[in-house]
Amino acid sequence: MHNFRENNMGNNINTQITAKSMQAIFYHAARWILGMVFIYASYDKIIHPGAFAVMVHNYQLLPGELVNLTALVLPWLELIMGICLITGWLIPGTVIVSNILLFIFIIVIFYNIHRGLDISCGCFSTSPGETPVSMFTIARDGGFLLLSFYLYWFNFVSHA
Amino acid sequence: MVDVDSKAAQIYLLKMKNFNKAKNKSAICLQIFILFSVALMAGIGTNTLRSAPLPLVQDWSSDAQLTTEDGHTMALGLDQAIVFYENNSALFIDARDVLKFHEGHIKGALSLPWHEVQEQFMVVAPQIDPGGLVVTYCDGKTCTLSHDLAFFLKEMGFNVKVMSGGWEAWLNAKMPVESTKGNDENA
Repeated sequence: MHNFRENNMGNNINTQITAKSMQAIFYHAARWILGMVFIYASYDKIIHPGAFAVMVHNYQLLPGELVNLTALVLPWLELIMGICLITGWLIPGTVIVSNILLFIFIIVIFYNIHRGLDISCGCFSTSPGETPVSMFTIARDGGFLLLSFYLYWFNFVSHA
Repeated sequence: MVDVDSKAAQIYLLKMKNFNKAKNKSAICLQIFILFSVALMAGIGTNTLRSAPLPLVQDWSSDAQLTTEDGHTMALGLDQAIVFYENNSALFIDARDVLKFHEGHIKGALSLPWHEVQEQFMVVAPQIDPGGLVVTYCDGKTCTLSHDLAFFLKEMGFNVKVMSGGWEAWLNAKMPVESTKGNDENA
């Protein structure tokens, strides 16, 4: 009887530890994956701001005055967010911005597919031959949004 | 007395909770502000250091976009396009994707989808008369595939114009169209 109780307690502690460490591993993995995605997405756009500006313009959603400013600042925002996600700096703010950004990207792409605009995504590359936006683009961004939403949940809901 | 104390403690705790919440919120707002300002400074800062910086505000209107460095515009109105078509003095090139081309295109037009230009250009190039006029088009006024293709073909040395009204304007004008199955529709 005594032995049984001891074993049982040991199991409980073990399960708790495993669950916590699993959560920690998943949290860090989500942060690093999303961080690398943001950094990978930013570098081509930072190198070719002119080509990216054309893509931003092709989305036909922003007034002309804001196109170049967006094309210059957005890739840097992605790069900084990627670095923050990997290093752990400014995490709460970064997580909120990444949720909002990814949500906006999905809405914008969906809207342009819906109105039949045949445009390049400009998500990861600024080369003109890039495949046009499709439901696959939305599914991929949806996956990133899920990761980002998990980070939001981890930071703001589960530890509230 | 105990009641008063516990009430005071509760109020204190509530105040602390609210204070922490407010502090957290302002800390998060500050973080977001830092992210955006660093990005803004980095974006504008690196741009000014470039050999050919991007202007912060640029004219993105379609006429301005189709004006070449020497001041000539590549924009071509529907009326002029019809004249060229009827005189048989221009080759029309469809910049939309192949599926849309198959569904319907300007009669006699060639397909060179902008998204596959690198693979398809060598296939289409021999059919283009180097001395003749090339007119590119895509869906309508809002699409820019024809612009991109026009600049590409111009760089390749062709004489190019862009029919800015595109396929939509051509259909509205009831000009000759065909689908790839060969069913001519002189609408």
